[in-house]
Amino acid sequence: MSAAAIGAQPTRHASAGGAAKLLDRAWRGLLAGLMVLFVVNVALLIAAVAVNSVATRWLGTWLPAGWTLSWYQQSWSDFQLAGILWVTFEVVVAVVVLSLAIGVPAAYTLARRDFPGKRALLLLFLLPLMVPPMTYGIPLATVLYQMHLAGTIWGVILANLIPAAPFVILVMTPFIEQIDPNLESAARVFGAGTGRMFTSVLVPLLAPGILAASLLVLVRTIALFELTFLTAGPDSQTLVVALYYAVFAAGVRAPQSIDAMAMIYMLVTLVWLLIALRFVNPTQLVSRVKEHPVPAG
Amino acid sequence: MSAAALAGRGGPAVAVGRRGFDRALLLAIPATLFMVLLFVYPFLYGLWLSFAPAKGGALANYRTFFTTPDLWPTIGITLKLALPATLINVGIALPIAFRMRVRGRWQRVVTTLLVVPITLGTVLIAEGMLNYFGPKGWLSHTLQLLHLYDGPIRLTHNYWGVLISLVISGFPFAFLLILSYVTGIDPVLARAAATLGAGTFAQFRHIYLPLLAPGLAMCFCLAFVQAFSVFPSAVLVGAPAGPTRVISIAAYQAAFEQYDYSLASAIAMIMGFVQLVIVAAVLGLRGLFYRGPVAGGKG
Amino acid sequence: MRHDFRELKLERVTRSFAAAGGHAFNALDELTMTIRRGEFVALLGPSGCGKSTALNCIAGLLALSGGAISLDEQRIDTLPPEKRGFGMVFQNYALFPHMTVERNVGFGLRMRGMSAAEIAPRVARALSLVQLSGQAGKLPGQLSGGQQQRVAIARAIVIEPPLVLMDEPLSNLDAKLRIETRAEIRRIHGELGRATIYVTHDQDEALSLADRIVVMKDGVVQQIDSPQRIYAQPANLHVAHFMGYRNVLEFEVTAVNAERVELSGGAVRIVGTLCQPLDGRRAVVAIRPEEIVVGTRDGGANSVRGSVTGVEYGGRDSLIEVLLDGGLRLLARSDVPAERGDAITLSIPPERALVYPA
Repeated sequence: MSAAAIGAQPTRHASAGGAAKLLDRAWRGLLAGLMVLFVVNVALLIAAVAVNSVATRWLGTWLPAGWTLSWYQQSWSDFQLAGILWVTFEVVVAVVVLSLAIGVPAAYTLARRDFPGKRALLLLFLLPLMVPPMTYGIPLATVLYQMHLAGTIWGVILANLIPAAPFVILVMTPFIEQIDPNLESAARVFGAGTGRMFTSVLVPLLAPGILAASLLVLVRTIALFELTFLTAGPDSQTLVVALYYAVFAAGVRAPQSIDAMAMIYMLVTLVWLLIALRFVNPTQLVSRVKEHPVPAG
Repeated sequence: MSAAALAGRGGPAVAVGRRGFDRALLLAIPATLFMVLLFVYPFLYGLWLSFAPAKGGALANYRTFFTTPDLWPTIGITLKLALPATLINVGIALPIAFRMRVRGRWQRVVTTLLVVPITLGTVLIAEGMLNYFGPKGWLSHTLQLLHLYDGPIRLTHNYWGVLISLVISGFPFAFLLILSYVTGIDPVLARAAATLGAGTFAQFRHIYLPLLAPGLAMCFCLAFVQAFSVFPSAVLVGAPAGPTRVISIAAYQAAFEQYDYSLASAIAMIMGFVQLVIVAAVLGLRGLFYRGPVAGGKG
Repeated sequence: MRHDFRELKLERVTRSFAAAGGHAFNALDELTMTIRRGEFVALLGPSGCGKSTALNCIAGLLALSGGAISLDEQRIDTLPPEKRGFGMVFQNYALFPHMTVERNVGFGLRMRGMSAAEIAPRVARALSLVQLSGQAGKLPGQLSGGQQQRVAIARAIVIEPPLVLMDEPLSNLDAKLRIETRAEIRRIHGELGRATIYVTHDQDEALSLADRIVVMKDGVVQQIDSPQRIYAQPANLHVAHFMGYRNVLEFEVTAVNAERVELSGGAVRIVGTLCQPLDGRRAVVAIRPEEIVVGTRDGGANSVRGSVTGVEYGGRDSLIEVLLDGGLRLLARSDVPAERGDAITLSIPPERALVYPA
């Protein structure tokens, strides 16, 4: 039997010492409790938004006085959501396509070549993922204003590319590394030129990685607030930034209308998250640590 | 994080030989150029701009920051939020991630649930908190029903609101990151320790903790840096005029309300510098621990 | 925890796993055997045969789905691994990468609460036993594969376990080192006399090390016997296959006379020795290539004629493939040179042509 199966379930043993066993139980209970507390509260928090978005009036009671879907209609016209959704779509598609276009080739170089300055280059690609957007966003916005790009949709796309392109690189590099370079050599030996080798060998092999990377970038870009916030003008706001302004100016519009918009934002994000989770592991959204291989045996 | 993993493996990477220039290197140029133009250059420009105020000497902005009563305390205010939030997030995520180290259905369920608040982002969390944690929200209702607390609770528009929002968005991040480090440690090491007499706690203490130390340090840094640059929730569920006037708010106001880009750049540089100091301190500590492969043998 | 025992009893030890589609399959099916003090037992079989599952059940790393394990009449299968006190050597060594060799070896003793003063001499003795005295301060990453393996062995034996478990300890070493380390394991077993259970898929390792061999397939024990009997008298065709009986030919049974079975197929008539009761008219004969004699013996009893169709030179001798006149193919070892197309006569000793039901 392979060693892989051993990890399947932890062994349960009956005869641990009494007090130690109790302590262990208590500890496990505490951890499970904390986890449940967290998940339940977040779920209720989301539910509160959902309930309010379909409430006629909801002031200080368990449930609202009545139910209605009219806030969605109102929200749609109040916040001009059609335009905002279109901008969001344009920004996200452009960011995904451009980040792949510059990220995948760079990842190929990093995966296949050693060259002087490689560590420095890696650091250059890692930094934008580690430095929070708020820290570099303000100098970036300043430069974009000087280039007359701030306030335009191109400014927003460029700003969002800064974390997106390195993210593609760091997802794709290990992915390319695990593709046997002999496959490329074999294609060359059998007469494929660089172009043919790329289209007939590399691209099909890279497709799953590219799909994963683009979904991850997509989900992250929809939710990325700070950079768009700092660089967008009135016509280049994405959904999350519009939502911020709506919450910020609470009181101007009915809270239910804001919550209806929040629900639309949530729906857009979660649909893509669900699609993404079919192809990637949840931990990939925050880290690029490789899943450790199952030990063979 | 990945830098060591990427550079450390010799494997398939081919060293550039003497036979002239390798065209594959050209593939990295667009990305490099882009990062230099839009990441490195703005940073350097901002640094230069911070020393070139509209009036006063080169250090005028920094003098302004450290003498103006609504600017310099923002460092303390932000630290007072970011450090506890990071300690809570990493401190709770570590035992839970260790507990969930065995791959299985529960691990998948929990990671999927926790990725949701990360994906939704801070703005939506803030809006939800205003509903749920507000004085008329469900939480307040429940606490009054259970007689745990009488009168409306105040968990929004103050320090606690921002701290809670930092935990809601930061804990899943820390958990997923630590979990990926924990599952990266070959479980056969723990089994070997078990056959040598180590119980669960001893396995954690002697095997997992030392091997996790570098990853934990990295996780602490990333979580801290994120918490330190908190912005939307400090505005939306905090008290941005007072107790949660964090450093990002000060920088934002300088840039977009006073249009003083020079001062704003100076504040951004100070923000980056404080982050750097904490990160350097933590990573310096990391140097004391074992760093290397976390597998039990060759291959 | 104890340091010695009379016998370790496995009774119908079973372990099942969930397979795809929600079914359960038995990776280990009712293993029953007794291991005596000081004995060296090898669990032998191809990958997936359940041998590692058996070892992990004994170590306590896997819970049983059924059956019992007892050490001198005391049930131990409910104890966690840390309470069993067996020493284990893992396939990939599983050395703690952040501890020096010395701390790796001393780990089990520290877990037993010994003082540094007690630990140091024991670790030194264990390291000198595996001839690594000079390497105590190094990290595992600085050692070669063979050295890492010896550290793993030292770590397992320093706690003076009643039983040492070894899970394919040599599979990551190259051929030369494997034979050296094998001799080392035999020497250490001889010096310490600790009962050892050794999992391997390599028949040579099992034959050269073990007092008794357990041959397994698909979770089921096929044969438990001494190396000599496993080699010469495989209990069934699976064991024969695994022990290097490379010629397996199917024949019609023409006569059974106690142990002697007469068989025919095509133009070939052959006499073999019955190893397992037959259940029909057809039977299978298993023969080792090295037990076929090239040339005629004893005036033609069990001799077959054919022509050489392939030669694989192997140094001391060659493996030749012979197409018999009846259309069957045989592999034989020959120490006389042969070439493709040579006409050849082969003799099969009747006592070495083992007959099993088809």
